[in-house]
Amino acid sequence: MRNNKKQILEKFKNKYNNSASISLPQGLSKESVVQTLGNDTMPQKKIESKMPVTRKVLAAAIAIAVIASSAFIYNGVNNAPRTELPGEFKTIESYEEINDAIKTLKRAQKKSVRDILRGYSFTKSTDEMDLILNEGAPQDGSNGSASFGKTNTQVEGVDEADTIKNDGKYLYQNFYQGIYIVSLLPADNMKVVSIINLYDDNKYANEIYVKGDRLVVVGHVLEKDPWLTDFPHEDVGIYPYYSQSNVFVNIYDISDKSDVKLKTEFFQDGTYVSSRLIENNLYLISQYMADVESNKEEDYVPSSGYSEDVQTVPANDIYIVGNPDIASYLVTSGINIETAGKKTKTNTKAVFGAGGEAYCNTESLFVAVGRTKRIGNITNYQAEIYSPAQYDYYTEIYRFDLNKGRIEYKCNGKVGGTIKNQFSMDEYNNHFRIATTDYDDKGVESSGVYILDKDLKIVGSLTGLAEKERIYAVRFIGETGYIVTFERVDPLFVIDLSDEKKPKLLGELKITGFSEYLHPVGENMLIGIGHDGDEEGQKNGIKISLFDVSNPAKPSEIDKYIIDIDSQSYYIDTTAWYNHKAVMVNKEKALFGIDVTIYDHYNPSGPNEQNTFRTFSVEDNRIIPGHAYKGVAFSQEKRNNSSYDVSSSYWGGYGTTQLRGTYIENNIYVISHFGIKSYSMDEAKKLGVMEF
Amino acid sequence: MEKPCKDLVKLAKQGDRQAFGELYSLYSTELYKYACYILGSSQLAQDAVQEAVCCAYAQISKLRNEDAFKSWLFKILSNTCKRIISTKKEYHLEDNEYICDFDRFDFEISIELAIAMEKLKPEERMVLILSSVYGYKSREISENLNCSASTVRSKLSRALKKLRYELE
Repeated sequence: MRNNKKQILEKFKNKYNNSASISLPQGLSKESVVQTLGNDTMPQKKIESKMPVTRKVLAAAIAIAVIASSAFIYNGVNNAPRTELPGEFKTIESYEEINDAIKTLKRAQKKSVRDILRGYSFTKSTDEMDLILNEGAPQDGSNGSASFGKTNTQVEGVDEADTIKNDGKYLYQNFYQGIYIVSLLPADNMKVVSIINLYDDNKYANEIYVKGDRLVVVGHVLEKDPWLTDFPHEDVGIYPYYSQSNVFVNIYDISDKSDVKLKTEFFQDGTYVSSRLIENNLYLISQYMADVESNKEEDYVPSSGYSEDVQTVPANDIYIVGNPDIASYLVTSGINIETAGKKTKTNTKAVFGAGGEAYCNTESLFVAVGRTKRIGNITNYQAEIYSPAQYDYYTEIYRFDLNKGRIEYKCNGKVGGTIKNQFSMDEYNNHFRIATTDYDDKGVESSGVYILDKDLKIVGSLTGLAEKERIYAVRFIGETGYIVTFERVDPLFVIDLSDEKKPKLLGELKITGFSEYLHPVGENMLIGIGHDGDEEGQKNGIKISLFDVSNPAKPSEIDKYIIDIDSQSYYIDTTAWYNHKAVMVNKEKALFGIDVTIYDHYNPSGPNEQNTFRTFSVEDNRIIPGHAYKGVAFSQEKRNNSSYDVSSSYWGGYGTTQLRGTYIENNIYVISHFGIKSYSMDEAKKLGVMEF
Repeated sequence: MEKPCKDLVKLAKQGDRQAFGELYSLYSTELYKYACYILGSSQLAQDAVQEAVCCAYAQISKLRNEDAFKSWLFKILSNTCKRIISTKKEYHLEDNEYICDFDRFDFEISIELAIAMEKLKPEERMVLILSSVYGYKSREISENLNCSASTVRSKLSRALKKLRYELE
């Protein structure tokens, strides 16, 4: 049966691809479509949909959550040499300056489209579609010095938002249009004590924080695109007819869990990039695209503020860096979650021409943005267009100082290559370290580490590591940097960063498979969570490696644990590959947990999906596999019976069947969108079940 | 997706209509063919593509991941088709505009494929094409069609069962 299905798929593909080509009707020709678009009107149709409006809004929200992610900004054609630092920054005197910068930008873009289109001859893509599903909102994890699971963050003292939070007694879980508060103790009698409704305000939560008596919800407000006012989008079940135009922060008083009160609402323009919580101060980062066609201030200057008092950011809080080459702002605000209220003065800073990944410690916020610039004039488009050598890849870094909720923009800098994620950056002893993957003149990949001073000027670098390979994981720990790259076998590089001017390669290790995430264990060991592999490259399973780095010149893999099943037709996945916050960490017990999803497409009794939460611990230099815990599974029956409210709204979508785990003392809680199961940690005995 | 497309996507995002036109023309035939097979009618397919393209152009500045442009277009088109399918019966009754049904096949298609397609519901065709021709995983299709992954898998399973004897 299995082969049959595969054969049918294959046969159908061939017949579809080889069938007579259907000629494009005149109305769909490029010229005709471009003309239609130029009329700025949508084709009017008599459309009636049976779909309830609420459902459509949700559909739109889910679509946008998938699209939003990754900031990679294009610079147009430019011949600037890569060593050039971005220009000096200044605050602007008036919005006029932004307007001028936008005009200059538009002229440059007109020119670059001509350059790009000149002599262009496209070959049609036969590649498989590359649908990149970015999980915008990360999820839980834990990093415990106390006896309950906390979010697995990069920097101690700097909290990161997550979809679940555990405060030792209660679990706070994000359901996108609602937040559930669940009492976790006693473990055999878990109860929903409160539900916060965001649905009525058309708000969508991305992530949450819990600190003392405050619950902070960070999310976005969907607004109809004014561009499409003539289009009957209310009646149309397709998306994206809503734009994610505003980031919101809702701060709740949760001193009484059964009577949660909304204290403050804050709004900020742009799409949500990231946020951090340091003590009581929340720092919020968004990226705002200016509407270059508009002359109205509120269309090209971002706004922010509390509740009804949302205003454009004052000119002297906006910085322009050199000659900006993109009509986008990086917008940051500082919010004190204890004291903020309607009368609080807004503290927002915006940098025109930026956006990106954030690294934050208790004193500074660094935002890095990856950019590409075409170098030189290209004469032979067909031959050279695909070569990475034709592009200059670099990363711009913006530094902000943080002080008790106030944000000051300090400086910016630039290094070659692009970063993978926030773990590619770190600050230690007043020096900023960043690991990037770069391409040389021939387009060959290699990796490097740069060390920058307080003013973001490069003081030392080590480049040319791991030719032909890309960075998959980075961790900076004190004076040492660890980098995982991958092409076929996995070198783990250990780099000495004690002399800022001269970073040194201490040792490397070649093994099969590769890690996506590195986590320190004790003084001298690292856990790597990644993909299994052999001499030929990547394989299907999940591989957990234990590295001994006590002798930096000779790192070694002292143990490994592979999660895999014996079947030809499955697909195995873990959120830990993409999101460090999905890793549960119990530091005292050296216990880790990750979700494992196994999809079996060709199961004789129908395709199925198994989700488990698996634990493992590190003892005596070995990885000890723990248990595979089951969560409350999705049930179509329940979904059908459920009324369409905040909890069921997101049922069955991606990200809802994956499990998250957390713990209190000796209880493990396995969480899904359909319920929570509690187990005793030692013998994996089921203690209780609660279904939503 | 290739680099040049990425450049064009970036330009299109800034509101450049010509760049968007170039991008569209890269995939126009593929999009049209896909819509034809789903909807079984060249007229409906033409409407679907037009509408999807307008929607895409209006929303492109919100596309954050330029690499995913093509799949994003297909996603919008799939949903436009879904909507047309859901409203088609009403058209049929109240309005004489679309008298064709999903199995008219007024475009070039081999008899063998036409017979095979007739056996499938439009949603099953969608899942089948996305999975076999474009190699999507069921999780990705579920994102694309905004339903659960298990629904996708059962649809695909049913489609394959129906086609067991059709494709020789």
